[in-house]
Amino acid sequence: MRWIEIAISEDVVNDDAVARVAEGICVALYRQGSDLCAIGNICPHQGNVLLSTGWLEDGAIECPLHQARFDIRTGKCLSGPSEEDVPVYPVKEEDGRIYVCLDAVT
Amino acid sequence: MAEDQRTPSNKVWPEDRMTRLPAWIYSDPALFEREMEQFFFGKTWNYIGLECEVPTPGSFKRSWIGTKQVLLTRDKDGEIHVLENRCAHRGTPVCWKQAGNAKSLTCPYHQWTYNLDGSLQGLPFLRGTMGKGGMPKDFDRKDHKMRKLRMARRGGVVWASFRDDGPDFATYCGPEILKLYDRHCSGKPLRLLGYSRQLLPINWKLYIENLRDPYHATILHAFFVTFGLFRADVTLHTDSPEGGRHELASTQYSGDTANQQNEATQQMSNLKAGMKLEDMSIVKPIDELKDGALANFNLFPSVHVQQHANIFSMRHIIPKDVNSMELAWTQFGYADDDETLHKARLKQANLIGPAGLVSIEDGEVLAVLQTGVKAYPEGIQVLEMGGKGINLPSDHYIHEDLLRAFYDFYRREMGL
Repeated sequence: MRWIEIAISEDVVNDDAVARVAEGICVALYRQGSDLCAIGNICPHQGNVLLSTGWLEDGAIECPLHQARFDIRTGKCLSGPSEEDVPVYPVKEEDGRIYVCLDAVT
Repeated sequence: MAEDQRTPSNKVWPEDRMTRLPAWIYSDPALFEREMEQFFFGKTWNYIGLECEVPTPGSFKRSWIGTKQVLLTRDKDGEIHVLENRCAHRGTPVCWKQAGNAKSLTCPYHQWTYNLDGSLQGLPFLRGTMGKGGMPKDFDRKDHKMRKLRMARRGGVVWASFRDDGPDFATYCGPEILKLYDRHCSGKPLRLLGYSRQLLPINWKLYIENLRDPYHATILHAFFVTFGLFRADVTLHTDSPEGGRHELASTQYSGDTANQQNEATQQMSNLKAGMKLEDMSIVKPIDELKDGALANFNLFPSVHVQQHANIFSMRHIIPKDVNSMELAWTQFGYADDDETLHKARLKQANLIGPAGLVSIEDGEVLAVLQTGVKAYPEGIQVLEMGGKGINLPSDHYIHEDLLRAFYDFYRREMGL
């Protein structure tokens, strides 16, 4: 796997979304307790809206524009107008740094 | 009191009610608003469009009921709806396109976004931004929709009503109209051929009158008379069913009578017996319905349904204000038309529409007529052709019984 450094650990805290761009791909990082998640940050519904600017609640991010909601662990669309999910990226944390793999999208 | 009841300020109907029409009814803005409420927004059924105009999930078409915009949509599950084209937020028309296909409809003002069934998908900044603003906690998207209108579908045609307490569609039409309706809109899948649209600088009632005036058709429309499509020496069955509300006209067509003269046709100054067509096929229809008949009806207030030879058209009457209306023509055929019949329909389509060989004359004469009735609102018009009462059904052209029947209905409904 080709790991790309995308953030430092202390930037990604509980109940907050962190927006990053790596190799032209918009990624949002979330921390929920012991879980670290990296998913696509563009709402697939309409426009080029960053999901990270939306509302984070109960492990889901809600798009600020039309309220499509996505599970931050699985990328699945939980409700709202989107007919697609967002991609999930493998993520790891080592020595105070966070790495993602953008090649193998699940 | 020796007051002249004909002055427009009094706005009363002349004493001889059945045979006299006051000119002020074509230019009075307050009367126009009352007509919209009573007819287009009242307990009536209004033409919206054809099912084949919204063929797939996501299809939409903008339409009108009087001065109100509506949308004909097909949602993601394939269901058809008629919605008010009005954002639940601030009242902006949501859709600004005539037709198209979309996954959702977004209001341009604040981007409130709706599904094609009118339900609200979402809106920007529902939760505010940076922890500030946003909708109150009790704001529920389910409470805010584009209003869905009561809808009826029959034979591939979609109708809607603003009122939930009016009659059902079949009752509203009545048996005589339904008989003609089901004749060519029988449920056989329809195929959209195209549109013509024209703005007419006239009060909408002048167009309703024109449709109910067979007298003019034999005189004004030289093309009709000359080439035998519509002439005073053949039987014309007309009636104004449901108490004068609707109107119907049917006749037997004959391509063989082209250029044949007799006593009746010679009385018509417009008859040009010497005129020839390079291509007579435009007036020689294919008798596809196997009864040789032409049938037209006005399903009051919003549409004139026309089956004339192989022309199938809907003339949608869209009043804009007291002095103007849009006339939107939708031409169609059947999905299974063969190439010969399809080409015949397209060729005959040249007879109708804004620049049609026949219809062009109505638009012109009515536009001039409007300037006359607007300038002389105190004028009184005469409707005595064919007698002074209502003798319907009728079997000839030279009468104004359909107009007397219409205004008898109109006065009753409007309390005039």
